[in-house]
Amino acid sequence: MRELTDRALNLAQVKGATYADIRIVRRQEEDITVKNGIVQSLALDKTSGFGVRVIADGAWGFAGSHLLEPAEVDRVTALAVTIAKASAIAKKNDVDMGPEEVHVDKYRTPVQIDPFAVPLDDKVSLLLAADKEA
Amino acid sequence: MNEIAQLALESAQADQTEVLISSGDEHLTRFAENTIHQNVSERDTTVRVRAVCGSKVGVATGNDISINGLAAVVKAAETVAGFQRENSDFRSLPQPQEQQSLDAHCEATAAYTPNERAEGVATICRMADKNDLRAAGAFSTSVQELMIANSLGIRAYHRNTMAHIVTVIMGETSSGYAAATAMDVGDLDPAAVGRTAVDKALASRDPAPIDPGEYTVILEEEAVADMLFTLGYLGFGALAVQEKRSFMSGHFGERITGDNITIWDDGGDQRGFVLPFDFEGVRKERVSLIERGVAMGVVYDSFTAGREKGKSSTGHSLPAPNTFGPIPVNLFLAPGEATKDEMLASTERGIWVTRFHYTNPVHPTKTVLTGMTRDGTFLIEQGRIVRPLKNLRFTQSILDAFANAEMISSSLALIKSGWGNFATCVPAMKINRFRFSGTTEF
Repeated sequence: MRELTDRALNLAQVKGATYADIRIVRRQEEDITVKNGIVQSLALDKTSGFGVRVIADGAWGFAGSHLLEPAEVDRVTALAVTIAKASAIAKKNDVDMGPEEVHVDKYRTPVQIDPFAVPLDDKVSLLLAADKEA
Repeated sequence: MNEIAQLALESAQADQTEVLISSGDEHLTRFAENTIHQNVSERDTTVRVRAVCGSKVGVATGNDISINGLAAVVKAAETVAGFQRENSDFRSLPQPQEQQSLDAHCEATAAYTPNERAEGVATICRMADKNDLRAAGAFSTSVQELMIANSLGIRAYHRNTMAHIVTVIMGETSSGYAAATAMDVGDLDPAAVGRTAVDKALASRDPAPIDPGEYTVILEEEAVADMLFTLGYLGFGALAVQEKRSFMSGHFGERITGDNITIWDDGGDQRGFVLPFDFEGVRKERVSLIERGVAMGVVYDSFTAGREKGKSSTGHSLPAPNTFGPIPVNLFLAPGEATKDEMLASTERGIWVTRFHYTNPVHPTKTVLTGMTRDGTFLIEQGRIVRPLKNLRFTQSILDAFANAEMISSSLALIKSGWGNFATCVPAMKINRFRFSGTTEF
């Protein structure tokens, strides 16, 4: 993954960006809907992707994709720079990011119980019970 | 996309499996205070699998289109179906049928560049600047491919493009709104959109108050579209009728609004945003909803059709899991014979409304809607716009309002809905006895 992020940041600089960041996101969602005693929907969603955000010619540009592969990282990064330069057509002032700061860190939200570790059946039963009481 | 669908179906173990693939590029340029503040582009391919085991249905989505990724989303849907409960109302996924192929793709829209979007926005911003006003809005273009395949043999494919530009332009005491939407970005004129919004912002400076009450109104197309779209999700779908919360329930064959009101849904009509099939791959039918004021029918998906003997899907499902039921997303309201100038000239005293804002239903079966006017509200006296007005809150039954439509414009406008790539096609209307229930200070 580091190889891909370095690739994006380097290419952004080569293309003329004065700032660039890349975010790789994995997202998981679970949705259960109960109505009138019926489980109307039970759905699981897992998606991933990345986005590259840059400043070029004093304006912001962003592009993203679901395909985390070298060629796509190149395309998206170049597109982000093109978009930033287009944004500059209608800018009033250059983006000012403030003084440079460098941080290397990790963050994880403290979780007592992982909601995805709770059995689906328990969740469905809870909703059905609540629906019955209502 | 056929290959993706095929790979997914081949890995399925459920009794029935449906694969919905949505793929495309979306580009959005947003502006505020006469400058572009957000300019983005996104490419995504989402695979949504519906697995049916008996009458248990599970849905999973993912955007990993590798062989392993597809197998994983199919397995997730089947696992989820295992945790479901039996639903005796579920019959089957739809059977295959002949599909229609409709042209909804414009290469110019697909190829539109970030520079071109930015130039369009800059045109509007320069107009606002020149008049000491502040422009905000968005210019978007998108390309989408949609494929639905199921294990019973359905294979449906469609691609479309959409371009949309919208702006609100504000002064110290006023605002003006304009928007345009089309399949072909060449049909959009940013300068014309900017001109309309600027003119309204200038014309609505220093608005005067007016008492609430009943007034004759001339509603521009945005306002009419708001009301029609609300009718669509409130009660033109079969689930609302089956759950007895639709204004159509118990009234089929009866007059429920004016005899100059005819409303239908047609995904194949090229004046709208063409969509030949629904999200189960069922071919969309033209459905007559209200014919000369008479309640005629509602739209169905396979689930709601399965609950009624003799009914079949009209091709109006939304993506699974769908708790809203079938919804019409290609609504049309029949034009009349008047022009907006004729409506204005014929109005002794009334209110010109550009659009509504933040509308919400108050009473679904009586179709009572409440909301505000916004971005260009004017007093009409003796056939002329005489002064701008402070905005008002309305609380009004939509069907009663339509029943009081004295004049309907001969032209239709395509108005993009607030969600999804859907749009309604509506005229402007002159309506008598429209009820405003409150006032504002702006």
